[in-house]
Amino acid sequence: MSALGVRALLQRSAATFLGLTGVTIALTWMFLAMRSVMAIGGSCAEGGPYEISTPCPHGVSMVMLLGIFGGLIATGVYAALGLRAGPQLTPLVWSALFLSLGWNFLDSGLHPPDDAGPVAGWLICAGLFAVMGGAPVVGLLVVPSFARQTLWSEDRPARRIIGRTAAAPTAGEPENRPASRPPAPPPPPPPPADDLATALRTMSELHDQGKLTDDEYAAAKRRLLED
Amino acid sequence: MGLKAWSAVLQLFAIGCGIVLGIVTYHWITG
Repeated sequence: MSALGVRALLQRSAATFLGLTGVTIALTWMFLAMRSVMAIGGSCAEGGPYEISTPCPHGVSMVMLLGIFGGLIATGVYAALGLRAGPQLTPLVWSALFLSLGWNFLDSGLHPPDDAGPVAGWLICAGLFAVMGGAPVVGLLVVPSFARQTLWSEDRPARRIIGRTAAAPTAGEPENRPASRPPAPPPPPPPPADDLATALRTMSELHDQGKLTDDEYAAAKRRLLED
Repeated sequence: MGLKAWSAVLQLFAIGCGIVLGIVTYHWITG
């Protein structure tokens, strides 16, 4: 492997590790922060000029904000700069987010903090989140090509890697030209009628100019028409 | 095959680190 290849591999590996670690930290924060809010009734507030009846647990607001935006950035790093071979888990980040938060809704809906019995609104949210988060998982189970691409992807062309190491297409060259495209067929020969008409016109002009006798003109014309 | 296996191991390690770091830092921030 060349020095450039080793460098690209190290860059890609670092992006995969840092991106996926960041995504997992963000998902863990969101899961835990939501649980702490559900444990005090499902809603809270912080700051502002109003009197707050249920203040948020210490630090949860910051963890939520950092989790949302940090998770988005980390997902972008992982998806855009990470390794191209092996698992490509970006679609499953969606599933991990919605299934983990949906689990919180289910858990809190069945065992609410005030022990007042199941909470229908939270159970409906749990079902909705399960459907949203479960869609990519169902895709993994029923679409083999999606499962292969997500869990065990082949390496992609080098030109998509940082720095575009492979030659870029030249100007005017289509980027995705099919390899087995047949060459364009040669232009068809002009129809013979044009040649015949031209030859007959030439004969007629020669005959009109007196360079061909009547007999010669008739014989040449007959020969042309027979050919 | 080698690159794919390396990628899978690295990602498993990253997920494990992320879970541990996520729990530790969450309790550190909210503690």
